[in-house]
Amino acid sequence: MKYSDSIAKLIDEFKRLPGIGQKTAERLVFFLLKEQKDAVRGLSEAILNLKDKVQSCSKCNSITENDPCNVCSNPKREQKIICVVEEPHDLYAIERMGEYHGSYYVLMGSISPLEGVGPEEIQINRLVERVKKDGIQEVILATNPNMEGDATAIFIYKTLKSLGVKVTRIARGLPVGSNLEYADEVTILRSFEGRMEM
Amino acid sequence: MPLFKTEAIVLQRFNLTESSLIVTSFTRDFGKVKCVVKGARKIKSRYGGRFEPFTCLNIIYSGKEHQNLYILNHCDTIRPFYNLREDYIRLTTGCYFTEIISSFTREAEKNEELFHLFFRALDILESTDNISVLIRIFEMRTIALSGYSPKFDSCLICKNEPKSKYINFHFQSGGIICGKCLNSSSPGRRITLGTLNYLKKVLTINFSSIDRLRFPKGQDKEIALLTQMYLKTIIGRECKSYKFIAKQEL
Repeated sequence: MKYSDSIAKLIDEFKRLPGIGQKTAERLVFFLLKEQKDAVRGLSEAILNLKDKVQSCSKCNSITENDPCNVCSNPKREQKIICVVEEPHDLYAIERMGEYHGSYYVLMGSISPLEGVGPEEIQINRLVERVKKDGIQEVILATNPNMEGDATAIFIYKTLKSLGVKVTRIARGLPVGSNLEYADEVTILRSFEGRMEM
Repeated sequence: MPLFKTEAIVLQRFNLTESSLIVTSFTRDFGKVKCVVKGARKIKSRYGGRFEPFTCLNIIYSGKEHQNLYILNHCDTIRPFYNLREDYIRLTTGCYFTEIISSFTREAEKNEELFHLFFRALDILESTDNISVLIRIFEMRTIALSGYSPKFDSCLICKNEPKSKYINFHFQSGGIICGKCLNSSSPGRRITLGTLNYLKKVLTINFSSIDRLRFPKGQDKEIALLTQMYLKTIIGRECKSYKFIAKQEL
């Protein structure tokens, strides 16, 4: 027996989400069928609000409900320092640390020669404009320590070098709680390069 | 389940789950191999950053022979080629080499000579300033080692050695048409005899003498265009990473 149209449609919609297949989608639909109407309405409103209210910040590209975002409009934050990250969730990871008080710029991607994603496809030009316009003193590159992150960091450094702005990159090395024995050679090398006097 | 042990150079990696990766590598003994690496994405993974493109590894993997996806059991770094990641031109050139190798190789098709060419090219790329010549050597030798070796010594029609100033290179047959046999409807691209001589050198020069070979101005663009068109004819598409190199002054 086939599912009714409403059930089949919702299963198909759930299947579009990352990591969700036919079985998981069916499980979610039957869970919602057992839920109270208010709870289901709350979920559907939350999803709609996501698209209606959430937008990207015109200054830093991060995800926000107010434009400019809370970080860009906060006078207590150091606006002359920009931390450049690849994706909005990287920004939240740094914010969770609670020790960084500067502003951000989200590239919304990274340079990937193997995928054909070049500097034009990510928003580097707007970063350069912001550095020029706002008289930025330091740009901290917090791209991922992988091939794509390295390509992005080198390209931004090459582009900003001529503007005379200080460009730094976050340290790469051993994660806290790991074992030196299992670390790869490049990680150990970076750890030695970034060693600090105690 | 049998275990396989070989040397491998990482070509590409994709996220499979929150903690696992699929790593595609070109191996010395088994051609292109795809492996699942469980736990590789965890921050405290014992593999660390070993699955970045260009890294040369000793790997042990398991699975049934001639299947598409294997399980990686162990790996050690032979050469990380990390200097390539410090310079934008070298990094994008390394990506271009990787994409060419990925396009020319297949699963379970051993090509040891091509593996050595790839390793040697990455090794030289870390230090040479003559990157444009290295690119041309790598392109032409990969084509040759993959079974598409161009025939530069004799004309496709009259079989004589070309002596005229201009000749045509015919991409589909990978050979030349000499000046005597040329007419306005001859297929292919017109090149000078000088360019042909440089192309012959590219196929035979020793890697250790690479810094001694320089293409004259003007001819370098002709050679680049020709190798690009020949590559495109063979693999049926343009390499995504080539646009990164084409934009730069090498």
